[in-house]
Amino acid sequence: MIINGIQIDDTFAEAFPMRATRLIITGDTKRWAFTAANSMIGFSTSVIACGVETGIERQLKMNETPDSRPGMSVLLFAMSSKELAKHVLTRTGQCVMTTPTTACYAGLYSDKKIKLGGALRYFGDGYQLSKQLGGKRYWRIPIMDGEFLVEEYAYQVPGIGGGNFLILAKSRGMALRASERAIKAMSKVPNVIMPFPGGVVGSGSKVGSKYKALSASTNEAFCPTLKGLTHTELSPDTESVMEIVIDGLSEADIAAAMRAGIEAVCELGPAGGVTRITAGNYGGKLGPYHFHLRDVMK
Amino acid sequence: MSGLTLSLKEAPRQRVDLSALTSAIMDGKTAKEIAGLKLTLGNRKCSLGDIFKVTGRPGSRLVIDNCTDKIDGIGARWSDGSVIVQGNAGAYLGKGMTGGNIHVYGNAGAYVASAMGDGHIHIEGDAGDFIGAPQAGIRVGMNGGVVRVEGNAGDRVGDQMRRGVILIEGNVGSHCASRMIAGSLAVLGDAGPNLGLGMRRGTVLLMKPPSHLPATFNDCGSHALPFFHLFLSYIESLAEGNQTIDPSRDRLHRYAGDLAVDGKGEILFYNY
Amino acid sequence: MSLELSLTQKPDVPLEADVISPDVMAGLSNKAISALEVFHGNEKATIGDFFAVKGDGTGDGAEKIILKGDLSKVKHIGTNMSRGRISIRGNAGLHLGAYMSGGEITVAKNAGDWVGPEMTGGRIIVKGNAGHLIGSAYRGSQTGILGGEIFIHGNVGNEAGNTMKNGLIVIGGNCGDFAGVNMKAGTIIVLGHLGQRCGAGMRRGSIVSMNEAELPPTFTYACDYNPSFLRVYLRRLREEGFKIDETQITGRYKRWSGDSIEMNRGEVLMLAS
Repeated sequence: MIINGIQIDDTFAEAFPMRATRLIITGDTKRWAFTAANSMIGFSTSVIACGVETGIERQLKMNETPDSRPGMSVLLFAMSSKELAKHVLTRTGQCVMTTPTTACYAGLYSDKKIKLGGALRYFGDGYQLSKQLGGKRYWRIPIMDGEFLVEEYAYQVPGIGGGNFLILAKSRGMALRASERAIKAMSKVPNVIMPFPGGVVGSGSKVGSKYKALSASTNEAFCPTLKGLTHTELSPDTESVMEIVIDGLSEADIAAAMRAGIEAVCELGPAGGVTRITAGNYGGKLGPYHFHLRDVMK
Repeated sequence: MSGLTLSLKEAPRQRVDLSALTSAIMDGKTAKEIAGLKLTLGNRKCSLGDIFKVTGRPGSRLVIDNCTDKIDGIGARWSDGSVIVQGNAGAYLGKGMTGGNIHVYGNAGAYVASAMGDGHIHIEGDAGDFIGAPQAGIRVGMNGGVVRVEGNAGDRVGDQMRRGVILIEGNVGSHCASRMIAGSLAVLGDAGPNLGLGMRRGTVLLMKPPSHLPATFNDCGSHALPFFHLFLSYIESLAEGNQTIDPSRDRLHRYAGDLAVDGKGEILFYNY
Repeated sequence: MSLELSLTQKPDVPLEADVISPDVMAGLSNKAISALEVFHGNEKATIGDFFAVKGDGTGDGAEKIILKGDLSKVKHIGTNMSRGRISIRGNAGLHLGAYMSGGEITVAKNAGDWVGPEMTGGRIIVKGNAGHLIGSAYRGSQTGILGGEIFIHGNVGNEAGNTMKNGLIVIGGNCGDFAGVNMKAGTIIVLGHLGQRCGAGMRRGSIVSMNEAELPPTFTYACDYNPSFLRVYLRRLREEGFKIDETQITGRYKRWSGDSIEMNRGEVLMLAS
């Protein structure tokens, strides 16, 4: 398949089931809502070493948040309910509660609860207050800047992690420009995050390593500097490869994000320096979700 | 600046091994005691004072005047202070040096910086074969420090070197970086045949495509990598006064090898 | 389908009509509904004696019961109801929605005293005024309402939320004396003026007022601030049709803690002028 002069490989991205939740973080100003959200999504690019993958889904207008303040919607993905619960709690406590003026609410609902305010309330040392409204319980924790408001529970839903595609380009600058363009388009798609820094992965990995302690290591078949040294997937004119990884709440969401991203790259045409788009998989043996690029782009 | 000056009384006909004169030996000695230091001249023993006129007092600076290429082992195991060589130096310049610096205004012989651990050697003229290579029968090649040769160098530059940086601003002979274990080597002129033969790791930088590479090197394409800029900037700072290096031109072609032995070495060069 | 009861004869003395509830009327025929027993003073009577019944309770007929006429003398409407809706197009009498656990009662005009006593869930909306003791505990009882929402758009009398333990009471107009007396927890929001001695004896819970009020001397002032939770509440109330202006959402409230003769974990928040 060739779209606007750019080759789309006949391959697929392989993705895994994850557990997900959405949190709404608000603050007195857009800046502080963003600061809290940005802090919460720090060090959470990949479950390989971070335990959780997070991202800002989008910015919320004042009339979209529960307390009419500027807000951010954050999605968090982990490999197990337990791991997700741990990170939701620690990150809300350490990153959101500590940020001045913020409040934190569940951003989606299901029958699987994650303790949020229900556990953070003990920070109030007995002075915490509980409020129930419309079936939701909130905790008001007296803190030095005033009061931290946090919903009793967040809720978890099934999610999918590891949707991806790779952009192969004639130079690093070209790969980056194409990636930025893809991320810009993909950030408009709801229910997905691109958990890596700025949404783009500069150092995509393969499973396993020659070193026993490592579960992932550099994907040498796509490393341009190793073209002569190992089995390579790259043509002689490919000088840089960047990957975009997508976590989403459903297969349709991830496919929509991949489509938006790949379309944005292909709009650049061959003049943009992108030679090929491919995807990462493990031969289909490990992950139940397969996103075939040519189906996604149909 | 306090210092000791050795001046050759006449050009020796046999080789003189000056490697006994280390910075540690000179420490706390008088000029007279230095003059009594036993040296080997050809196949016989003699005093340093027999060959050199010794003036001044031992200190942070050693000057060797009228030096010729028969004087081997200058600056051996040198650890502190400067050695200034007026004229040429023989073989094993700076052998086992661990600090300080050596400046040669003329040429130097073979095995410059052999087993060098740290310090700085600057040769304004040419240098011989086996720069940074281990002495025959010994396994330790250059293990740190910096060597700068403004002129040309001979064969086997960087042979078995493990660490450190060698900059040759002129041309090098054959087998440059042969059996290199690691470290960095920059050649601003031409490199001879069998470049990088048997190199395991390490980096060789050239300013233009090599005329010949062993078959066991593979093309990895051109790249503009942040490391290249860093590396070029460093080489530029070493090659003081030399206008050849431009770190803003950081797009280099990369060959990986030698695949016969690990192949984690690289030869970088401008391909445009 | 809905069930419609129109008052045909105004009772001389209060009519005790706790049978007017979706739980009781569900599944009953028109005739059976008319035959349901009520007390007119101390005399037994039937629904049919006072109301014209249209429709029946079969299917989901009783899920919405419409009451027409002036029911100010009809007591105990919706007692114990757990589901469905009762829409009262005029006034409602005493003890509206007592002990209710679910569903919704709306009153187009005024309601009497004791709206929603000891309710545990559901919602009562009164567009006009209501009397004393809304959302309260009955005399001698340990706790008042345990949940649910009471929205009075007009004014109310004394002792609103007496001994309440949970739930939300919102008063669009003014409130009489002793609002939230002996309150154990829960929330009372008064958009108009509070009367005297509000929060007397409260342990936990929140009383919010948009106007300054005189508090018992056992309350202590804490700070002025903009509570995030109140933003959530007031937004919700705006959706419920209460008039909430932006200064009330973004404004600063004086926080008083009390009542220190009890646990002192309660609060009265008053919009700082």
